[in-house]
Amino acid sequence: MKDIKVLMNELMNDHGDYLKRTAAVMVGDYQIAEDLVQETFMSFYKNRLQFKHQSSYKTYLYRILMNHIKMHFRKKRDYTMDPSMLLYHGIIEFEDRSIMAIDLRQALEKLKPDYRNVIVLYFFNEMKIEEIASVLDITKSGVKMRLKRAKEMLYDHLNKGGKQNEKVE
Amino acid sequence: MKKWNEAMEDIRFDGKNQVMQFIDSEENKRRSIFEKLLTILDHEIEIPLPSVVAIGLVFLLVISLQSFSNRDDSYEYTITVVNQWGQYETY
Repeated sequence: MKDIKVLMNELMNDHGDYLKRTAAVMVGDYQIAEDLVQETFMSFYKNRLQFKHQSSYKTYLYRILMNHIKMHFRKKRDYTMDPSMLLYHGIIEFEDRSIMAIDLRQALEKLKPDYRNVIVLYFFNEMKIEEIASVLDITKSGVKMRLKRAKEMLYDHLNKGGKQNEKVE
Repeated sequence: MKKWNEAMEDIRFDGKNQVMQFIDSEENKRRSIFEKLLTILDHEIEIPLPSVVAIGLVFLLVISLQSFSNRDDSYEYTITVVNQWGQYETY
């Protein structure tokens, strides 16, 4: 087994930035995201003996992060994304349609945290259904269902954007 | 969706030093012998509960069988009666 400090260093180098970006999109604030990721690594260190290597370090870290985000939203329910965040300009592919999204921020702000989580993990982190199920500790069919609903809501919000978001097909 | 991730490339995790400081302070804390032992082993000591229960049950069964097989249910007894002359006779 590696020395814990070496391992922690490697994990922070490999996953720190991605975890922070994910947290930032989820909570809408860079400083809170930074704090949450720090807490995630500290929690990992404290509970490292409970890690049974049944999942990858990445999955385990994301699971801890999701729990911290959940706790954050228990304290602070409202969600407003930092204005400088996520000025996405491109086409988002849905199952049977695609849509031009100029700004995802408003659409994401309207989604509930449970739906936002799956959207972010699926599109932003490009995780597979199995991985998302493991991170969120729900079944694969649960992920598929949430993802389907989340996509529909996202599509509706983007489509309602009118001038900002233009339908392609 | 690549652009989404790319749009945030300048966002970096800056809290590495704080986490390392936290680890250092935790590592320097006084720990019990058991915690030190766990750290050396670097994994939890797992007690295989089903196996322990099964072995315990087998032992219990063997001990109880032994005690039952050795037990002699017969025991001596006497009876005292009064005969026709009013004397006590013990058999």
